[in-house]
Amino acid sequence: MKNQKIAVIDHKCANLHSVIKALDVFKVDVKICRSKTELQDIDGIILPGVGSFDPAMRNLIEQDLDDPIKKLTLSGTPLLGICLGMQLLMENSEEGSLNGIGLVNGTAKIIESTDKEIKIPHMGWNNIEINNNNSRILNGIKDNDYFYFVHSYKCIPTNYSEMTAFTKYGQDICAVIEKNNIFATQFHPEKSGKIGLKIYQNFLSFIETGK
Amino acid sequence: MKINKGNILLTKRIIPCLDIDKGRVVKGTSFLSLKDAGDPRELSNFYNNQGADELVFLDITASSEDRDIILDVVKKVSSEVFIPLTVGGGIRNLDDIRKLLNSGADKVSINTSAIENPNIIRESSEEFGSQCIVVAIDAKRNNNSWGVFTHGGRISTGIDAIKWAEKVNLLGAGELLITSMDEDGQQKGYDIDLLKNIQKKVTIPIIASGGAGNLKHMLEALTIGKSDAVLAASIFHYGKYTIKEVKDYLNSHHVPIRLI
Repeated sequence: MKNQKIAVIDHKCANLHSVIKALDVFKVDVKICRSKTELQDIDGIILPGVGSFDPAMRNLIEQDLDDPIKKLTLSGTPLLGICLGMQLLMENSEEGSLNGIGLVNGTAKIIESTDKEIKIPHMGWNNIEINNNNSRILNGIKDNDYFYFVHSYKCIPTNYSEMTAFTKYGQDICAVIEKNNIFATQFHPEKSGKIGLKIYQNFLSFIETGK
Repeated sequence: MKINKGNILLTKRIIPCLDIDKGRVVKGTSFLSLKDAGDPRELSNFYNNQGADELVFLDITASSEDRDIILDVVKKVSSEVFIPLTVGGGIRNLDDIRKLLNSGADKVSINTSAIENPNIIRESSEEFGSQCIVVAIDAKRNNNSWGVFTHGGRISTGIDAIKWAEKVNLLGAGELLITSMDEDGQQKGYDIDLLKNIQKKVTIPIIASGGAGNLKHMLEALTIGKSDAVLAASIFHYGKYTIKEVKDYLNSHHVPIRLI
């Protein structure tokens, strides 16, 4: 996977260091993108994110990155959204008033809990159940494999078939979205040990082979 | 691999704690398999491979001029070990927190500075998100209550530990690291009463610390004490148990655990 140029979007609300280190494992060329002009000559886009919906979305708009990300992705550039980066792909979120990038139909809603044991944020290792056995991003990953989650909102894609995997936390929570060349995980693959790195590997291999 | 059927809750976390002084792991370890047990990178990889769910680094470097060494340690470890890292010790302000997070830490643990200036909890959780702000509480029993101590248990603040836990929860802390100063290093078990009493009053996860001596102690902290995670140093460092042994034991007692 050498020579692949991967754009990592820096909208100032992300754990860039860990994402970049995970990509470094596969020796790809990482390009940190803070503006539209930097988002060129790239083979794939990673949209990370930690924090709240509106501040991240506002930064994307101010940096003039929201539309270019959408256009590039719609024209076929593979995209991987992580955590808040997944929620930013939706049409909107209960957490904020701004519109999301809108690459995935649906919304993000707060995780509701009346059970004292279901603490919010959902923070820790949880196992996933896979809906789509032909998933490209979950290649080599099995039902009940564990990933590290930290979030208070959950994505609800309108098209259920785009929810490739979910996790149970008092309720079903969307864990992975997959739609054409768009991939997203609610968990942090860069914090989920070796199995998490597999997500990055699958994404890079999709860029290389288109499958 | 056994599967925790019907598991709708998060797995309980097992967390080794590494004391770091000037970039080296102290409270020495005695693993024959390690070339250099004082190297935080090597030890972190070792625990990660055993299935640690998270790592905590406690920076005990005394001199301020050597303080930035921990940033380099965090950078190196986070480049190789892809699990959550929490760093505590000597954090004074938001700038210290920012530097650690930018170096690859996922959470920071604050103790003395939170006592001196509780607003740091609100400010830092608003700036960086609650999920990365852990408040460490060192508690010492006094009859039927517990007092908060700082400076490694040397200075009594006169603050009630349960009330302090409630307060930091409201201020925006994302997690509590509760250390019993009475039990720390004794290997006679965690202070279950302390954990239970705090658990009743807060809505955020609790990490139990201080007193782990055997597998049953960990089980009790997670079940009776209702902690979300257990932290231990000596029993792991001296090879009394591997992380896997702890996890297999807990799994056999129906505690939800991430098995790898």
